[in-house]
Amino acid sequence: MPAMNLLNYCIIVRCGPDQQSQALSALEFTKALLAQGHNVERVFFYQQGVLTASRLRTPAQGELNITKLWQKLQVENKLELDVCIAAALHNGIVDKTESERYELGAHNLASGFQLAGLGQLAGATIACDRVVTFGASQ
Amino acid sequence: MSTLIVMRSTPYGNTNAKDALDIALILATFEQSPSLLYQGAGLQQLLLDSQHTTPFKHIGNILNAFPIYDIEQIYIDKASINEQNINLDRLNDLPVEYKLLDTNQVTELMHNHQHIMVF
Repeated sequence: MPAMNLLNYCIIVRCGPDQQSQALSALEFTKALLAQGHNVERVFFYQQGVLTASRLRTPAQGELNITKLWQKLQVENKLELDVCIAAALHNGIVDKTESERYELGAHNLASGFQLAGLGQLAGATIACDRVVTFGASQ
Repeated sequence: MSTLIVMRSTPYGNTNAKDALDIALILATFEQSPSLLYQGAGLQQLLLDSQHTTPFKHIGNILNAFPIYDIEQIYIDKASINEQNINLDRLNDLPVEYKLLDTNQVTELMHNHQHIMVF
């Protein structure tokens, strides 16, 4: 195999978990990057992408659970899975802290994911050689 | 040059316009001076005179903040002006200056940025 230039990547996931092929492409692409030795600075879930981070998602038996697949990848690779906090709150995805802040009485952010500000995305555009978006709707 | 944000969505049909502007503002806060290219239906975001009655957060209010954030690189795809049948006079009230780009210039603009985000 020819020597490859290893790069630093940021992945943006903008599609919801129900947009199956796009959601899966984001995951598989991230996996492939890691397998080839590239660095993935962070995966940033934005817009409908934040729905991926709900631990309450329960796809029917035999169906793909993209949330669990991200969690597995996160554990195996110490990946940073950032969920845009504004989009998360808008879509009803909250961690314990936000749940208490807004007195919501429940929280549902899946483990392995963390709420983060858009600043994390801005930081990634500075730090990363490539920013690759999945699920950009027209 | 850092990030080019391409605006292709109508202002209120989905959250793309607002979500893209949020990214533009945060990039500016990080002193990354983002460039914005308005293309196709995205040009409708600039027709502020037609948005008076919207119950949503007015896009124009965000555009008004551009000078404060030093967001100055605003481009409009010339071909989209005809395609969207827009009279340029309607852009006179924009709080920011813009440059019209032909197809070759749009290509060049994209080549000149490290990152491109399409909304």
